[in-house]
Amino acid sequence: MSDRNKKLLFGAGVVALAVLLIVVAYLLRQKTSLEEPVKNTTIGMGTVVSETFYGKDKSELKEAVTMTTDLINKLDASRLSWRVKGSDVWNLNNEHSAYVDTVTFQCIEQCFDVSSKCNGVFDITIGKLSTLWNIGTEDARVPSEEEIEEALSTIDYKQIVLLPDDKGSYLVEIGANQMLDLGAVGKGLACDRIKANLELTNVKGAIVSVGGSVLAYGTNPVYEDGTWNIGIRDPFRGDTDIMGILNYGPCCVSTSGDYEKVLEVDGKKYHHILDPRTGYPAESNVTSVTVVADSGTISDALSTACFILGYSDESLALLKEYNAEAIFINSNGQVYLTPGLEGRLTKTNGAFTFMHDEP
Amino acid sequence: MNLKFLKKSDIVLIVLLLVVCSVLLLPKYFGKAESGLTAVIMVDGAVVDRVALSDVTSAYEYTVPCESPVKLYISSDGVRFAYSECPDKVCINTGLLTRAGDTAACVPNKVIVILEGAKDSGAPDVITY
Repeated sequence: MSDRNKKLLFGAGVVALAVLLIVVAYLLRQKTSLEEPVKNTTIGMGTVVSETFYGKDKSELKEAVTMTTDLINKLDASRLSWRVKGSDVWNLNNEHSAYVDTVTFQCIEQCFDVSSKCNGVFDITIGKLSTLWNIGTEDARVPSEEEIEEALSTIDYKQIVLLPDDKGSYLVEIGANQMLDLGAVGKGLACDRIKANLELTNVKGAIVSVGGSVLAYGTNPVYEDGTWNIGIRDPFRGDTDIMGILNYGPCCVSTSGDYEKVLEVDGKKYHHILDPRTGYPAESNVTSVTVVADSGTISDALSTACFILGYSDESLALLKEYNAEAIFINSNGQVYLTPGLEGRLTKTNGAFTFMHDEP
Repeated sequence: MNLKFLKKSDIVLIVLLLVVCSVLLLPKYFGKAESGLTAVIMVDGAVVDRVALSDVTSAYEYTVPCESPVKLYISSDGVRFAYSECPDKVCINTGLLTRAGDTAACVPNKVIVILEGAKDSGAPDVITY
């Protein structure tokens, strides 16, 4: 073979290899985009539930949709709703002592733990007060001071008694005039249950929103690093507007904001996050708080507690107890991040400013 | 022809390579051009209608086939709830849906409206609120 032919052969080989690589890369990219996720949007727990599941087995992804819908409906009707006769919470509120499901028991236990770490700023025995205001329903009203005083006297998480026995029964007792309201953590608990169920399947990745409480599960096949992009609601604009995008791995994310359910009386606005110390909507130095944690029950509970506590040393200490991170946004559009979220939130609206000062 | 750095066959191969690359990339761009928005209307978990916004020449009121009277406003720019007899009016307050993935719902009447279409590359996977 001549020298010229050898060179030619070599050149052709290199080019052929390059073409092959490009084709393979293109096919791989096609493959991920062809691996369409299974999506579903439905109504559950009195809110919008949206689900996206990724994985190879389409039928398994469809099963995940059914599983999620059933789980949320059951959780609401048999466990958490204080309106549905016979649910765990209904039984507790009406009999003040009841055997409950292990899921309900663990949830109450987690809530008790959060209460004990924030001096009861978050307290699930708030039921009498929340039903008094009823914000978010057509019966919403501003109660009298006497009514608020009376409701406040029933709030005390320390009266909750948790009595597990070794036979798998879970007995809970609450004070005779107390009323539980698990509304602040119901959506986050749903996220935790969905996560536990997905772990038994081959679903590789999922992004679920139960009324704005988010479960980011497994890996996102759309991105090489498998992370998820979670939009943070713009507290000053419309329901579908965001102020930025949080890029994060598997986690649970919850947001509490004063824009959510609002009662307006004589030009004065009352939001739905009640302060169990005053009996009125919390007067916070922030307008919304987003919490990132391993558990949805915890991220839900902490977002409520941190909203009431505002951007403060107390909030930061509470978050640390649970290895949780947070985004605090105040009414001037100033944004405070905990260290673990530094560099992970990209603003999509120039009206917001990152701040770095301590509380 | 006697080029020092490139032989005739090399040039042929390079041109061939460029052609192959562009052919492979073509569908990617053509695919994106078709991405219009479709309003998907659901009642009690079932899709009852799909309206392609690009087909809407003049805005109109759409009556949702459900028990209680619920009306939507549909235009080529987007879709929103226009009327509902629910107590909280969360559906109407959500406002106009304009981007792929935007969702509004009337929970008491079990009506959901979703805008389907290709999402912007910067769009989030989900929104926390």
